[in-house]
Amino acid sequence: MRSKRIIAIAVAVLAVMALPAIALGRPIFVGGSTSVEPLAKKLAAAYHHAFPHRPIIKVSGGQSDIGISGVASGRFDIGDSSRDPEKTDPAHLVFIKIARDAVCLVTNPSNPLENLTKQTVERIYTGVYTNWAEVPGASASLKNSHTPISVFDRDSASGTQDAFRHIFLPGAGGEAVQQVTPRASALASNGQERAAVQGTPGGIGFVSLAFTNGVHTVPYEGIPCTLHNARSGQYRGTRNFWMVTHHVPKGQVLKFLRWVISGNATTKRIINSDWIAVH
Amino acid sequence: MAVAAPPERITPPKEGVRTWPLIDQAAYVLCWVVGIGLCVIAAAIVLYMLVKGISYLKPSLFVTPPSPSLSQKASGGFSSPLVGTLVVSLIGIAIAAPMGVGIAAWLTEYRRPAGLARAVESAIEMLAGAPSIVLALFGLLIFSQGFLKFLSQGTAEGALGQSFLVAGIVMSSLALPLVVTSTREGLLALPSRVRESSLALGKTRATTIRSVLLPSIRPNVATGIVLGMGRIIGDTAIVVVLLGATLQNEPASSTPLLGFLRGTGSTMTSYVYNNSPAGEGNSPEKAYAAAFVLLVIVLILNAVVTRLAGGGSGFSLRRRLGWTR
Amino acid sequence: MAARPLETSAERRARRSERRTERTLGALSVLVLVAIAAMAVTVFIKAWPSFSYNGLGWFGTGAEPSAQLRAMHEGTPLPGHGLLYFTAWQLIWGTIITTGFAVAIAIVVSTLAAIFITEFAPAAVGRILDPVIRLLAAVPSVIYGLIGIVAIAPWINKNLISPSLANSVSYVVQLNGESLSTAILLLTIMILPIMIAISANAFASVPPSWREGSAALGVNRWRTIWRVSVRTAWPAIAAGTVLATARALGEAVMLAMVAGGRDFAPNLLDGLALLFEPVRPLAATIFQESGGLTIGPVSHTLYAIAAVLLVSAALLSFAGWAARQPLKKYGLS
Repeated sequence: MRSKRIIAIAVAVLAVMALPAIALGRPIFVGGSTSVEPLAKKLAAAYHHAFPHRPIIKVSGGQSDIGISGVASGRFDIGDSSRDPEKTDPAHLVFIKIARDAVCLVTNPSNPLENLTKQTVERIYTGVYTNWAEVPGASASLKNSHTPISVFDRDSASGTQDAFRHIFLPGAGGEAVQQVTPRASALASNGQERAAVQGTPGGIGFVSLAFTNGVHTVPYEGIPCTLHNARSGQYRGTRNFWMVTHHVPKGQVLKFLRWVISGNATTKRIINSDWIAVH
Repeated sequence: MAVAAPPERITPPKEGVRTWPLIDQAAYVLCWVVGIGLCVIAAAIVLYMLVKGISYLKPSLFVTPPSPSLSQKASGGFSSPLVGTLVVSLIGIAIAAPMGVGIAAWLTEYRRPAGLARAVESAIEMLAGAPSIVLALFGLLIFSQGFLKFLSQGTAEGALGQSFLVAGIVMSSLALPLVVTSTREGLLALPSRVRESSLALGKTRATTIRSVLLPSIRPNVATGIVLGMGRIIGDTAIVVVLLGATLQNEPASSTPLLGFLRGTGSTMTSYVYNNSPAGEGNSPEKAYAAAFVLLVIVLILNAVVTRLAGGGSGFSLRRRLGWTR
Repeated sequence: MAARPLETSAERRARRSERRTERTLGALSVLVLVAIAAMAVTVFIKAWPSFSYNGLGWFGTGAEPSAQLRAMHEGTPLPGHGLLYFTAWQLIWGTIITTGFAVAIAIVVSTLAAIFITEFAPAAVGRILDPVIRLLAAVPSVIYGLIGIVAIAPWINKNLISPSLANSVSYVVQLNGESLSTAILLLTIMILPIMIAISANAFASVPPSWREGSAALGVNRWRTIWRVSVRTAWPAIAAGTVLATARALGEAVMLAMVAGGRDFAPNLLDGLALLFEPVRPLAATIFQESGGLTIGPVSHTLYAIAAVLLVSAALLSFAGWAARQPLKKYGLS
């Protein structure tokens, strides 16, 4: 019957197409920190441009903890992390530093704070200050209208949140960090945090330096949060970017990582665009 | 002899709303408010998306793939998501349509054993009511088993479970109840003499279904298919969980068709979600443009349904009125 | 003596193909039945560890769900509990209050709209309303979410949430446009078309003689519709309500975008501020946390939430069937 013949031909064609299935090799899965994500995506694209016959690199987000647990469980080949290794991380992980990044405090453009001291930041984030009328330097309109402070935080899978707490909310006595007020809204990525602060007149949050367009970046302790200041070390709010593998990297993963930390012209150009090169 | 003049026509006094009690008048006004309000809301939605979408829509968006960038200018267009939507809905419908028609035919024509038929009916109803996020979770569970990695890609712990094929298969379960219901409605509406005359001519039931019944309910089947496509195109949860929602469509291997189908990608819905403030929020303008295109696609499908249904089996309410004021 | 007529080979072929077709189609239907049953069973199996660890406390209050999920992500359980510790009350209450308000408003609005369509609307307006309702039904939920998050929420933020209102509850929660009010508004618009369609069909199917009889008695149109049609067709309204509730329960993406995402149980005693408090319905929670499915305890918890949703959908399905039974009495179903 004609229809049977058509089906037979279609199956044969599909079978032929399925044969060279392993031509390019299985892609390399990279995932985790939303702060590292833009950098990882740019590096992946440049790597593919430079070595078109090597496996493609697929980058996704999910925040640092997802990256670390994902690489330990095998879901990712490389995990991105924007926080330093912790004791509670899974065993046999290799952390490879690829860059450094600055964490900036941001407020809504209608509230161009000129400076935030360590004490003010602590008081805002631990919930001592609940209203912009209490914050020195806040815009007049917010002060006059007694707008409450909308504190934006990141949820605990985030490496940026971890870095923020260690840098800006260091603890005293036996505690590593101070507790953020439970009122704060916990968001799931840098992009969401930026959008939230941009859309809330009384908002304050923290983002990676690459995510600061559209919001007002607040100088911390008198030092503006810029790439220049971060590089020179004047701005103290910087943290490491890591790529993590389970056991020592091998094969194609090793080739990619070697390329990333080799300090060649391409990687240097990409990293220096928004981040701080370390190799 | 003179014919008597016809009696004067007595017209009953015209009933006006103003004669009603106050509460009834208020209810009348309320009904009008609601009716006009619905039109206003629909117009507002369309106009808002039109204004915002057109202002950010450029022809280049249709052919440029999205690229990773933090600035709106460099983040490309939505050609990959557009392709993704097309592929996923085609796969979903290709699975749901034959299955749906077959199941509907079995439910109306055969129905033996009766208990099984009732169970199948309830199952289809449950499927219609199940949230798509639950279907997505279930799909992820099944398709990340290692033996199914030919449908997506292998990872160290089994299969990735995210690909166009996987998303398409789960999407078909969204469209299935719609196809089944539509086809059943059509089959039930056919008078039994059609079946009887065909059987009297010596045809088997199978042939009757294939050659007589199905061709005559083509509009119903088409309506069900288009409704199903609409539901698939509008779904986001399954896409985000089962398609990977990667920025571009990334094939699993270099094999021409199969590699693409086994790869991850995105659709217009996940693109809108990712570019809105709820996702990464980097390109709200692109979100508007893509949302506008999505809305246009859905409206066109809607218009197709209206044409197909022709007010027969669709829900044209006015036609059913026997008593209009 | 009547002998059985011999079967010709053609007839035998026909009989066999008939049975083959019946078996194939039957097998197809059973396949779908088995797949759906397998889905329910698998979800429950994956959900069981979470339920068995928490017992009935799963539905109660305790720590905040986001803190519990955080603990699962980090691998460090909250003090005094294990990793599977989860209390979903804030999420459940958020779902109840969002769905409840939306369905309540939708019942009223859809009944009025259906009355308008069947009774009061002039022909021209009626012709416009048909596509309008179909349009509202066809808009994808992500577009409703987009409109909510970029247009409605900021508007509410600017115009309806005054600083004094925000300050009244600022010790416990931050008010934002993305809140209960936006969620209820959009959810209502989403479920209206279903209910309007079913109600209008039911009203139109009421036997004309009944309404004519009422008119003959001098009852005005509104009272006729109210007392005769609505009374007769209320099982249809109930069935429509059930369908709409199922739709509202399953809505994940739109609510994830506009409901605020904070697992906070809005307090009815907060007065007006209640409307602007963030909520986190169950389906939206699954959607937002779906990134953590690779982590064991998180996946058990998410499947537990999915199991709750499935059971609710099944119960609603049954309720819908039960609601439609009276309709058969009048031949309206």
